[in-house]
Amino acid sequence: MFGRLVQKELAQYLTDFRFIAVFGLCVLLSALSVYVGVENYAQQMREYQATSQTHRQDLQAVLDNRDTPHKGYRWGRRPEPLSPLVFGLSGKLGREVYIQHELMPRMEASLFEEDPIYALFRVLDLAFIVKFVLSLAVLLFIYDAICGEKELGTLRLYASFPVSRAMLALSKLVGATLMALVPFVFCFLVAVCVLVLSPSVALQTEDWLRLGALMAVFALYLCVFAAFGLLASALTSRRLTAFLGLLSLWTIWIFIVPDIGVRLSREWMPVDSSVTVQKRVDELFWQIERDKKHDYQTHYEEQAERRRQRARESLEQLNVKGIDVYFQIQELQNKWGRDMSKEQREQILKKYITIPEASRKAIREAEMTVYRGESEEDARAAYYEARDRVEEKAETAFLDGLKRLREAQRNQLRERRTTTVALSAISPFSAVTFASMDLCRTGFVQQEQIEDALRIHIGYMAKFIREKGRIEKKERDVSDFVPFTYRDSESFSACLARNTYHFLNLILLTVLGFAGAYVAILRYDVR
Amino acid sequence: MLGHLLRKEILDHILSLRFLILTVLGAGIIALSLYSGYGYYRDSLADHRLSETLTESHRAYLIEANDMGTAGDVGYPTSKPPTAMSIFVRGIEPTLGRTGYIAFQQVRRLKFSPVAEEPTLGIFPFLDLDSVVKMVLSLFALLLTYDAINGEKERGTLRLLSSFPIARVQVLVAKILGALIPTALAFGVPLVAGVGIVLMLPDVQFRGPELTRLAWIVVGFALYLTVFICAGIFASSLVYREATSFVILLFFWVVVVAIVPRLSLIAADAIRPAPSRQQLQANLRAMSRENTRTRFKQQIEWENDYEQRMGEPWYRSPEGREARQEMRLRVRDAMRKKAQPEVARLEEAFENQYNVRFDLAMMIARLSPKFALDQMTIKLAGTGIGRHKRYLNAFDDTRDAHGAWYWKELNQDQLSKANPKKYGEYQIDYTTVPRVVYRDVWPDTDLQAGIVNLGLLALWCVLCFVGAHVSMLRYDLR
Repeated sequence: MFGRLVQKELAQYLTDFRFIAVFGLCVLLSALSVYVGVENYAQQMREYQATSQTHRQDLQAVLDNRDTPHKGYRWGRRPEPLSPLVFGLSGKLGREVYIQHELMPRMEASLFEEDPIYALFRVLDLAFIVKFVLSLAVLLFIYDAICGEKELGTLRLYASFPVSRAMLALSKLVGATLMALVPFVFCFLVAVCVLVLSPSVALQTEDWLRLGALMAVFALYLCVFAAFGLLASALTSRRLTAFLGLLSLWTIWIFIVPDIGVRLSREWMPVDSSVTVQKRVDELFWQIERDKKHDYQTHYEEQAERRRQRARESLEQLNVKGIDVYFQIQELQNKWGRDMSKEQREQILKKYITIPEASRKAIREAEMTVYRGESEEDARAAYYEARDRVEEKAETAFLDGLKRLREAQRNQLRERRTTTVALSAISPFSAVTFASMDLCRTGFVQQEQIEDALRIHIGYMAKFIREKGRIEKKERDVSDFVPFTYRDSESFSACLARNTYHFLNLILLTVLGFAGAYVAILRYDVR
Repeated sequence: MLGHLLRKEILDHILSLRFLILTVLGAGIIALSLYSGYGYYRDSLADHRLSETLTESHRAYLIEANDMGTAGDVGYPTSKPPTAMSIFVRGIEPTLGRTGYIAFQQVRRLKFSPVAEEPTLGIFPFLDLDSVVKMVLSLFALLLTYDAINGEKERGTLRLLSSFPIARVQVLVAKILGALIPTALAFGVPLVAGVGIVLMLPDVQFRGPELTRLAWIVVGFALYLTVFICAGIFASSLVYREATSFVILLFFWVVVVAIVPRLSLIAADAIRPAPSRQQLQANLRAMSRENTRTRFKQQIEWENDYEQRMGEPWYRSPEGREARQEMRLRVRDAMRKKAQPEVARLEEAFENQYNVRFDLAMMIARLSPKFALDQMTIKLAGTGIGRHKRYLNAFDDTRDAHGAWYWKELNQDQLSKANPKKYGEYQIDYTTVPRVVYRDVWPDTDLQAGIVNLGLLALWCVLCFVGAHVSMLRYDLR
C-alpha cells in the first residue's frame, strides 16, 4: 500500500504542467550556467597562463642577471576547476600577489576589481540555480501537497483508505521529497556532464569526491525546503496561506538572516580592519628600518672606536715629546664632536702647533700604520659579519611581527565568522553557501592557506637574499632560487571534517521540518 | 462608480490577512535593510578615515627616509572615500578596489575591495534598500495582485462585478489603482520614514544634488513596483486559475530579476567577444621594454661620442656630467613623446572593443525592468563604475603628477651633484610629493541616463496595462 501511495504522489507531479515547465527551465539553466562557467574558466585559465608566464620571465631575467630577487616578483593564483559549479568568492578574492621580502603579502586584483562588468551583471553558476531557483521551485511543487488536496476534496478520499494516518503521512513526505529531488538530481547530473565533457577542465579523483559531497549538500538544502513546505502545507487549510507563509520564510532565510547575521557579528565581534593591520605592519617596518640604521651606526662607531683605541695604544708606546698635548686635543675633539665652533677649532689649532714638528710627524706615521694595518678584507669581513647580524635581526623581527599581527587578525576574523555562522544557523542558506564554497575550493580557506604559505616563502626569500647578497655579483649563483608555488594538498576528508557543522545544521533543519510536518499531518483535519 | 470600485478594491486589500502579513514583513525588511546599509557605510567610513591616517604616516615616512628611491618606488597609499548614498544603494561598491599606491613599483590599479579584505561580507546577497525593493518588494507586489481578476472569478464575485454598469477598462483601472494605492502606502511610508531617520544621523550629510538623486531613486522604485503590479494584474486576467497565474508570474519574476541580467553578458560575449586585458598589458610591456633598450643604446652612443669629441670620459668634468644628465632627460622625453601615440592607440582600441561589448550587454540586460532600475539607481547613487572611474582618473592624474615630480626633482638633484658650482646644493623637499585631489561631482548626464531608464520602466507599465486591457476585453466573466 505504501508503494502505491508514493506512486500516486509521483504520478501526480509528473503529470502536472507546472512541474514539467519548472523542471525544463531548471535543467536548461543549469546546463547553460555550467557551460558559460566552463567558458569563463577556460578564458581565465588562458589569462592565468599568460600572466604567470610573464611573471616567470620577469623573475628569470633578474636571476639570469645574477641579481637576487630583492625587488620582488609577482605570482598569480590558478583558477579553480570546480568554479563553474560554485563560483563562490572567485570573483571577489585577489588573484595576484606581489612577493617582496620586506612587504606584507596581500592578494590583490580580484576579477571584479579588474573588470567590474562581471560584478555588475553577476555570475550565473549552478549554486545560484540551486540556492535561489530550485529552492523556490521546490516550494512551488510542495506548498499544496496537503492543503491543496483538501481544497480539491481528494484528501477525504485519501483518508478513507484502510491505512494508518502515519503511513499516509510518511507516503506524503517520501513522495513529495522524492519529487523535489528529482529535478535537482537531473540538473546536477546535466551540469556535471557539461563540466566533464568540456576539454578545458580536468578533474582529479579528489574532485569527484568533492562533487559527491556537493551533491549531498545541495540535496540536503532542498530537503529542508521540502520539509518546511510540507509543514506549512499541513499547518494551513488554504493553499494561498501556505504559499504566502513559505514565500515569507524563503525571503527571510535567503535575504534577511544571512545578511543580518553578518551585520550583527560585525557589531559584536570587533576585528582589526586590514587598514589597521597594514598600519601596524608599516609601523613595524619603519621601526625596524630605524633600528637597522641605528645598528649600522653603532657598528661604524664601534669600528672607529676600536681603531682609535689601537692608535692610542701605539701612540702611548711611542713616547715622543708633546704626546700629552695631542691626547688633550683628542679629548677636546671627542667632547666637542664634529660640529665645533670656530673658536674651539682655533683653540685646538693653537694647541696643535705647540707640538714639535718631529713629534707631529711621528704621531701621524704611527696613526697611519695603525689604519693601514687593517686590510680591506678584514674591514669587509667585519662589515659583512655586522650586516648579517643586523639584517637577520631585522628579518626575524619583521617576520615574527607579521605573523603575530596577521594571526591575531585571523583569530578575530575566525571568531567573527563563527558568530555569523551561529547567528545564521536558522537559515539553510548560510550553511549551504559556506559548505558548497569550501567543497569547490572557492571560499576563503584556500586564500588563508595561500597567505600562510606566502609568509613562509618570504622567510626563505629574505634568507636567500641575505646569504647571496654577500657574494660578489661575478661569483654569485642565484639559479637555485625556488619561486613560490602553491598547490592545494588538502584531503577530501579534512575538508569534509571542517564542514561537518554545516552538514549537521542542514540535517537538523531537515529533521525538524519533517518531524513537524509528520506531526502536523497526523493532527490534520482532513474533512 | 469608479470611486466605488476603487474603494472596494482598497478595502479588499487592506482588510486581507495577506496584506497585513506582507506589510509587516515589508516594513521590517525595509528597516533591517537601512540598518544594514547604515552599518556598511559607517564601516567603510571608519576604514577610509583610518586609511587617511595611513596616507599621512606614509608621507611622513617618505620625509624621514629622505631618499628618492623610497619616494619613487614605495610611495604612499591613498583611498577612495565612500559615498553616503551606499546606505541605500550598495551597488557594486563592495567589490570595487579602494586603495591605490602612488608609486612606481605598484601596478596602476585600485585594490583591496572591502569584500576581498573580509570575504564574509561578500558571501551572501546584500540587504540594502535597493535590493529589497528589487527582489523582495517586487515579489510582494506580485503576491498582492496575482489573483486580482481570476481570484474573483474563482470566488464568483466577478459575475456580480460585471453586472454593474461600467466599462471593463474601468474595472481594470480600479484594480490597478486599488492595488497601487495600498502598496504605495504600505511600503512607501516605512521607506520614506526610514530614509528620513537615516538622513538625520550625524555621519550622513546630504546636500542638494544627493537629495535630488535620492528622490529620483525613490521615483524609480515606485515605477518599478508599478510594473510588477501591472504585470500581476495582466497575468491574472490572462488565465482563469489563480494557481496558473501565480506560476506564470513567479516564472516571470525569476527570469526578469535573476536570469536576464546574468544571461545578457553571456549573450553579448557570444556576439562581441571581450578583448583581452592581458593581451593589452603584454603589448604595452613589450613596447616599454623595447623603448628602454633603445634608450640605453642611445645613451651609450652619446657617451662614446662624447669621449671621442672631448678626449675624456663624461664623468671627468662637471660639464660632462651636466651634459649627460641633460642628454638623459632629452632622450627620455623624446622616447616618451614617440611612444605616446602608439600607447594611446592600443588603449583606445581596447576601450572601443570593450565598450562595444559592454553597451551590447547593457542593451540586452535592459530588457529586464530590474536591470533598467539597477542601472539607474547605481548610477545615481555613485556606487557603480561611473564614480569609480572618476576617482580612478584623479588617481591616475596624481600618479602622472608624481612621476613628473620625481623626474623633475631627480633631475635637479643630479644636476647639482654633477656640477655643484653652477647649480649649488639642492635639497629635495619631500613634503611636495603630489596628493590625490578628489571631490565628489554629480554629473547631470547620470540624471539623463536615469530618465531613459525610467522611460523603459514606464514602457513596461504601459505594455502590461495594454496587455491586461486586451485580455480583459476577451475575458470570460462568467
